[in-house]
Amino acid sequence: MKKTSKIMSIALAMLMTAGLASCGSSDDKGNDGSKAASNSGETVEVKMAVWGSGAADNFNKGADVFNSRQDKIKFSVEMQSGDYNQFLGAKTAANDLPDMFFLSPYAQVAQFAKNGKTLDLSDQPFAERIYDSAKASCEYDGKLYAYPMVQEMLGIFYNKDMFKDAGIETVPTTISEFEDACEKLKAKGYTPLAATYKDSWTENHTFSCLLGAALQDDMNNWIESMNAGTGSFDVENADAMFRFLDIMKENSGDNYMDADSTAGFNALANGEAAMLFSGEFSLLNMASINPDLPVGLFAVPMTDNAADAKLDVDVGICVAVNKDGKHVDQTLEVLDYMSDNTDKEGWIANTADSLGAAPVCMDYEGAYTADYLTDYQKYVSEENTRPWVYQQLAAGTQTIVGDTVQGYFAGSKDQATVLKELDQQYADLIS
Amino acid sequence: MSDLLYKKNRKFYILLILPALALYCFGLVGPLLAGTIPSSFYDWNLIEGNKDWIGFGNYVKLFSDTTFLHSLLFTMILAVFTIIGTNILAFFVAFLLNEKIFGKTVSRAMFFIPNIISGVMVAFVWIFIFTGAIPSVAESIGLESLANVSWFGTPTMATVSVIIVSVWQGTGFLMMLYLAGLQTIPQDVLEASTLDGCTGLKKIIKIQLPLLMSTVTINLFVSIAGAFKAFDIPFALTAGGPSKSTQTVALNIYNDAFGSFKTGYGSAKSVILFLIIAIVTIIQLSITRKREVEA
Repeated sequence: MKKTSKIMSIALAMLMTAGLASCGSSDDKGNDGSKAASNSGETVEVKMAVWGSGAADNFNKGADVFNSRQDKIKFSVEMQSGDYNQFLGAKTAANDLPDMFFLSPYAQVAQFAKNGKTLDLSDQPFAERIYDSAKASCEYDGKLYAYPMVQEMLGIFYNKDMFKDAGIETVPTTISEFEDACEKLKAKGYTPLAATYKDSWTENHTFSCLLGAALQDDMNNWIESMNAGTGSFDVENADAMFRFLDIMKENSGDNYMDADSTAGFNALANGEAAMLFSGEFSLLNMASINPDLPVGLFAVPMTDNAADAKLDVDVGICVAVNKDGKHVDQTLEVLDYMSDNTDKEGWIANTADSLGAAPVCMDYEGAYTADYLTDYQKYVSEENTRPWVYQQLAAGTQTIVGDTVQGYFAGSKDQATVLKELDQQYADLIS
Repeated sequence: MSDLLYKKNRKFYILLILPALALYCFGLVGPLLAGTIPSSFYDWNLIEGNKDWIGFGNYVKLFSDTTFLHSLLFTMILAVFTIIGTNILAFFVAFLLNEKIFGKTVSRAMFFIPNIISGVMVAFVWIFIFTGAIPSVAESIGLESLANVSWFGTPTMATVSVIIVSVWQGTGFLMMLYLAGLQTIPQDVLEASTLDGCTGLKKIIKIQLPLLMSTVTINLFVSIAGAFKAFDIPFALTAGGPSKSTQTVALNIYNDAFGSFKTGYGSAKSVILFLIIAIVTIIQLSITRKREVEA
């Protein structure tokens, strides 16, 4: 008995070693294979790291089109399902960044440019095509360090059928019209707003839009003062911001703190709520639930002045190129493909031209049309938009704003506490 | 075991623990001594790439960090409730399952299952129970007040939710240990006590609990260490919200070290957490060990 078990264990050990060895050898083969290929100028792989989102399928479709058109470069999109910033941090520390990668606009692009990790893209063809308003998000030291891939819109998405049913003829542009609309919806038995407040990042988006509405033309000065450490979140119109938050709380149904973003997005798509304060990405869920739901979009009406209701539009994704990548030339070729607005079947058609997809930061005649996109285009063509506030503040602002404002929604913090805590935490952040 | 035998075989015994000890040092002691403790003295940010010696700067800073101090307080609250809750519940369940009841093995497995499901999965199931199942059931049986409870709405309710789920998951494992302990109590002792007229609650307190003290020691040790390290359930259930009110120390360290990349600062907090757990468990072990008796 003893002997057999000994023999068994030796046999098992040998099997395992053999297994390991075979893994090793197959890896070696793989490496040799790709090396040989790149030496003879065959296929070069260009990898792009992207953060996890519902758009991953579309990115892969866009990459497949590129790969099917030529065989010199294999373009592959790698979605990081975990925390994207963690991934970037680890790769930066290990000096092992992929050829291209998504960055958040403003602070993060500047940080990577400052540390010399990303390539200056000022002379790339896309620089001529993109809107001037989109450039600031990717600039550092007067040069473009990333490609602003798409711009996103934050505002109030609404169910047109419910509005019509409740007798709301025109979308609200002032706070009193907004309150009025909420009352009309409630009278019809509808929940006016879909709650998303369990996820604190949604509170950050909300608060950022309200800050933009409160600051208006003063936004740039205020951001400068904040980044210099002399500003305060207690802005002149702070009362109006918190009044709007109160209206949101009153009109988000019961137990609104228990609903996370997915629950909120689904509530609009399912017709459980009439409005949703979020971005176009919130409609991605609708594509599988209720793609034909007529959804419109209007800017947050925070003040009594209709001219203050501007749509919050800003660059959402920047694509940076690794300066130390092995295949910089091929990477730039891929970037050119991604930013070609004359290509009607390429990257843009696959990734930025469908329900819930963010539009590109340049002129592009899309095949997809929807009510909310028409509304968006109207705001853009009338230049009735403003950039997002939080993206231009120090990195990490979104976390402190989201978490603190969530306390206001939960009723554990009042206006004075929220503003005081925000100032304290922001001071820590930039110190 | 006789001392003579022990002395004779001592080298062999030491040899036997060597593989485990080596792995333990490689995976735990080594990184702690060579990684966490030294880096806690640096102002080290992974993304910015700076690494400057600041001595005890991180330690001084964390005692004025209100978020960290609150997470410490929350962890204590969570620990007290889950340690007491899981142990009492586990003992109670183990005691019942030790009797001759119908479907004993199946019931045991049922109580143990939560322990083998990952914390994240458990949290998602409970999110559904709190926001989907409880309101629907309560509404259909006319309990409006229960249906309208917002389980994550206020810091207090979110804390209650985290405690409920933590106790639910932690009970199974401790129950198994208590059950094993109950079965090692010799039948003759129990029979003798019954003959002497010691039954019911008296039997539990005077006979079974004292003989179970070694299991209690282990269970308290396990649940204390587990409670102070609580991460997955608060992370997946509330993400520390609303407004960081249910953030445990482990979650706070994670957010600092892997969210803001303050590696040095996070390390300093980890060292403090390590010291707290070490002190609490050493005190607990010394108290409960004294109460252990042998049959």
